Amino acid sequence: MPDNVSRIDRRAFLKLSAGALGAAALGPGALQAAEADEEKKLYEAAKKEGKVVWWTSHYQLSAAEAVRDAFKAKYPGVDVEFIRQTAQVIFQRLNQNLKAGVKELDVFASTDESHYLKLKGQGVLAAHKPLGVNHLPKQFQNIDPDNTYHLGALAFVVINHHSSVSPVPQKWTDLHDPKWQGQITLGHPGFSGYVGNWVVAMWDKYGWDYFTALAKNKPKIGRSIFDTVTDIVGGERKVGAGPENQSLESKAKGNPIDIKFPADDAVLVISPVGILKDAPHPNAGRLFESFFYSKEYSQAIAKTFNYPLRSDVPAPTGVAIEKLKYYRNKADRLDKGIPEAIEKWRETFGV
Amino acid sequence: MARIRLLGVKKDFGGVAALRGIDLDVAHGELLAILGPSGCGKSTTMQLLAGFLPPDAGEIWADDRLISSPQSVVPPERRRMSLVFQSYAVWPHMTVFENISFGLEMRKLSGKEIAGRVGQMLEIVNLTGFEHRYPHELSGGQQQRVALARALVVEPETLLLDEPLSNLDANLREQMRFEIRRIHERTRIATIYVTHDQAEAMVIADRIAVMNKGVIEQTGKPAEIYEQPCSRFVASFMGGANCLPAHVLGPGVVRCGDVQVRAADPREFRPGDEVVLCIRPHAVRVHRIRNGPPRGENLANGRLLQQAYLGDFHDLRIALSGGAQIRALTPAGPAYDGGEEVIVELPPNACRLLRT
Amino acid sequence: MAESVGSAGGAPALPSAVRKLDPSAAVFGAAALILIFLVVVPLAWIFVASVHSDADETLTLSNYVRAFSRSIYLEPIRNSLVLATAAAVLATFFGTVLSWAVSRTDMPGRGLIRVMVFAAFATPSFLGATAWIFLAAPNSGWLNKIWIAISGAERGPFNIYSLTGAILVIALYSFPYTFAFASSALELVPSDMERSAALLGARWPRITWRITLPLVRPAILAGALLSFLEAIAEFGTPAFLLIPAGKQVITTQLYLFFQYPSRPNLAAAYAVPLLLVTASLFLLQQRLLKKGRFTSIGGKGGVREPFRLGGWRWPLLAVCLVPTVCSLVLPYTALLLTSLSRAWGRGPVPGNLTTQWYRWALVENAAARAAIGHSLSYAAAAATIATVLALFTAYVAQRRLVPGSRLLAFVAMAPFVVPGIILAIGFFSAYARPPLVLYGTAWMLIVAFATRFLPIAYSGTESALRGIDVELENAARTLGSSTLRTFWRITLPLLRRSIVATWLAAFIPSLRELSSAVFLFTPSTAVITNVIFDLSDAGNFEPVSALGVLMMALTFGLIALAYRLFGRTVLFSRGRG
Repeated sequence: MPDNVSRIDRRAFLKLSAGALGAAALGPGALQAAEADEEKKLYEAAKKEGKVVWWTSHYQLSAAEAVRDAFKAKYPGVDVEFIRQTAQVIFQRLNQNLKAGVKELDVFASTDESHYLKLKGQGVLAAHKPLGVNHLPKQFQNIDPDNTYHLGALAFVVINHHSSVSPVPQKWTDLHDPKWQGQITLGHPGFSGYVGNWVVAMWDKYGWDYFTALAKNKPKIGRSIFDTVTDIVGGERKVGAGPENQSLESKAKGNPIDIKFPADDAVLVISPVGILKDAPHPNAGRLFESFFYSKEYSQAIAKTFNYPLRSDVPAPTGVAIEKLKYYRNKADRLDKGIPEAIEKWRETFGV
Repeated sequence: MARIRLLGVKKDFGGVAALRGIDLDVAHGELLAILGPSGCGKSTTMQLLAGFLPPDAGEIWADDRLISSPQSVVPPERRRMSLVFQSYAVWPHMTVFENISFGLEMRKLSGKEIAGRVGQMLEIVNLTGFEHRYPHELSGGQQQRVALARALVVEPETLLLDEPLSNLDANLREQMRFEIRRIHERTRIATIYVTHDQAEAMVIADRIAVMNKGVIEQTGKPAEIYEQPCSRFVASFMGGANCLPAHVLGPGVVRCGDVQVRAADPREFRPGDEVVLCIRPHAVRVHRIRNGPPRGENLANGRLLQQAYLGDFHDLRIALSGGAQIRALTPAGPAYDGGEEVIVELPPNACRLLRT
Repeated sequence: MAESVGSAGGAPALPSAVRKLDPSAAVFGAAALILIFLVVVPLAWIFVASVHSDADETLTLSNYVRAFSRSIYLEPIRNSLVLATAAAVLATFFGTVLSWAVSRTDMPGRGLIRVMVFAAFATPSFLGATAWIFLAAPNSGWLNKIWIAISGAERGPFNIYSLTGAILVIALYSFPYTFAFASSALELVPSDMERSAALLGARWPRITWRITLPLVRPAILAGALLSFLEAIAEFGTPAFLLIPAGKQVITTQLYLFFQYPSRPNLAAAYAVPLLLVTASLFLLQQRLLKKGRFTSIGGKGGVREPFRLGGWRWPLLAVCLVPTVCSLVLPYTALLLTSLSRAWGRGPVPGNLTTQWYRWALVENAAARAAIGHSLSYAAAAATIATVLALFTAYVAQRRLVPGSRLLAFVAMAPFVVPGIILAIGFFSAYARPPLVLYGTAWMLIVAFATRFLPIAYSGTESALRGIDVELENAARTLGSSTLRTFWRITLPLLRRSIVATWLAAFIPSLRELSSAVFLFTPSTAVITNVIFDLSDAGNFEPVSALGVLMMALTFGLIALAYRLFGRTVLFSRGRG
């Protein structure tokens, strides 16, 4: 099986590149035709495989379900088996499987970019340029020059608050105010990639003292970034460092939650997606990854208040991502930073 | 050749000697009773015979096969012995028929043959018609008969019965004794029967082996054992006996208390030996002084301590002038006065001299 | 003389070691070997792993040094000990009071209490913890909100995210063990002992305190130790309640050791001292139980008159209802209401009610459906394996069919002292690498569950075997039946009822097992507890509740079926049969 996979892999890659070159020579219309042809072939092969296995921490459960439903609607005959869990948990499970030689995963979608550096270093990711990846905004197109992983989702960590809160905290440092004692909710960088990104960002901006000061306010520590939403909606806490997507989704349902883009920068979460070399359903995996760059995918995630990956689909908040001010961690900073942050977090917060 | 033979069998349990060298023979067709008080080792003997335990020393032979030795034991399922337990051990989840036919199933007989033999056996134990009853629907005596039938139907070479009647009430026990004897006479299988009840052994057995504290004290026919006990224990266990300490004066003559007594059977004692003089209560003759001086040997003065009127006879306890007490059973007659002076006669033929 | 003489018509005798077994030896021997393999291999791996470094697999003691010299690793040990001790004390108190009330008095509602205790036994404590979050989270918990509404206070008094909260929740779901121990001991106390005291003028409080309870003290202590062992091995409840409180315990710390980059060898070293502690406590418990058997002599107990409590009956019932209401009524109500809410934060108000989550669990979410199927089939397979192994090996051990039978009993009970998460570590080390790779298959979980609950099956079978008169078997053997055939035709049919009860006693815990499953599953072999645990972060309280309710409905349905078919024995009571 493994031989087969890399053969198809290389062949597809060469074919695609050759096709792309050839089509480039012929003009944009030809490129689109070549892609549609590839897509058809991929779909036929995927149908034979029957399903794709996908682990994601990219967004909330409702978004993942929307993606699954949209994919199945576009490509009937290919099932989607997915798990939505926090980034560190799915990464640990993947590693556990790799160590034991268990091959069950096709598509790995984590919110911790450094995971992909590690996986690439282990040589377990398949190099593949998915169809339609050129629809991505330019600044996110080539996060890996070797094409072992590509952008899968974009999200922000922002200030979340109960709608009764007034005045609303304006900056991250406002959370140090003693009036928020016992009223803050956070995730945990040891579980969530979102939180990992946020912690490293704050650390680099303000030094670790940011957290020793925050600890004085005795925040409630959860696991996932989405725990923040639950706590605020339920009235358990009033403010927190939370996501944008699920909070807005919840607000739209009439729940008493709202967000604030802090003046000292929202933290961008780059969530790559990659296919494993030893994927049991390689063609379905490729088809699924390519689906990320389709209009249907962007529409599905936009409905659940996530940023679309294509510029021809409007952003859920009406503000395109290019217009926003944000802080972006470098991938190699995350590589060392998140594990160190987890250690320091343990010392500061006790868990 | 004996059917079963035990040679010098010993068994220890954690330092306590249960059997201290047992020698026993059982002939083909014979019913031997092992009689003794609880704790004498008779159940252990059964366990060794059946093959559930190995002996620590000695051997057990069946015909010309060595079936038990300290190094090896033929397992119970291959010894061709059946065992009937005190608790019946009838299987509660099987019917009477299934209980009895169990042993036949392994002998590869046809269904018809099995049914035939089971029917035959039920007839022998008087349980025809009970095939489909369950044990909990049967009385104790009936369950015991099922156990017996189950043991016999496989035509064992030896039958072992471990106090099979102890759990039954007195009347039923007496009845079942005769049943067992009758069945034995019909089947003529070599049988070893363990009991603590002397009367039972006497009724059932061809021969009795009296056991005490891990050794066999005497083996012989019931009459022999009763009339010629070779030890104090056997004498008192078999029907009660007066055992008085005595001092040998000459062949067959002893001093007992302040009376000189002649015993008909001198045995091998020498003057100066300390022995025990045994006489059965019913052999002791009691003469009333008012009837005049009695004629007879071995006369002693005594005073009545206690008397019990038992209809057929009097049960008397008499203090002899020498200080010893003696028990006598005298035939029905006028009652005695409390404290009455009497003369006690010990007929020489009834006196036995035994080691202390 | 070593000769074993045969003759015409007689079979030669076998060497004494196997003399009792003949061809049965193969079957019993195989069972014993499988048992030893199942138990010894993972445990051995733990010890082996603990002395190898994670980085390069060299032989070293550095893991032990690291594990016990950093204060962030020592804190959890302290927390675990406090948690387990307090939970054990509380569970013992509840268990003793309730079992005394149910077995020895005329308190009304005894049957109901007994059923409720059993229901608490079947409920996984992490599900109870989840429900108690709904009830007693400091700001959003319903009980707190009710309190604020009634008393006008600013804050409610309950905070479930605390050590106290975790202690209470664990005690609420482990007191059934102490209840079972104390009950069975109380039912064996000869009533003559109490009657003698009564004739001397003592009334029921004095009799209970001075006569009854001291007689069953060994059993109570044994139950307390068991609660302690359960509490220290708990994973789900501390994960839900103590992480938000900033407190780690040993089990959650072990879980952290497996985060990337995983350090399983360090985890093994960390686990070893805990293993030694639990092992010694277990030996202590066994010794107490042996003593107990001599004090309460009368095996049949005799007819007992319950104490007439007069006016005290109703207050006693109120006391007994406290743990049962807190472990069942309140949590299940919370779970039900949440599972029927669109958003639990808004509370059970009209407009917020829906059945969509049940539809989601049963129809839309293929993973949940598959997980339900896995739970049932793995638990059934594990219970069957455990029961079969227990039957064969308990028989070998009790009838002393091979030398060293007592060692076999010890091995069978060994997994008892191993907290589930540690057993999982051992299993992972053993079976996630060649030659025998079970990881990634259903067998990984089945084998783990079977091993984890083998001790329950074993002790149930052992005590049932003790009740069978060996003469019943001997009778068969003298009729020519081999050991194996006797076992099959005589012993097993007589054990029928116990076999069912034993099977259930292994099946139910397998259904609700989390701490070992959390490591050993892969998404394609996930069981229902994995799915619930995974969903429980990210605020998916409503689907979690729906799944929890479904899981418990399934469990109780099966128990009810068993009760219908097999009678009272399944409910811890001696009953008939």
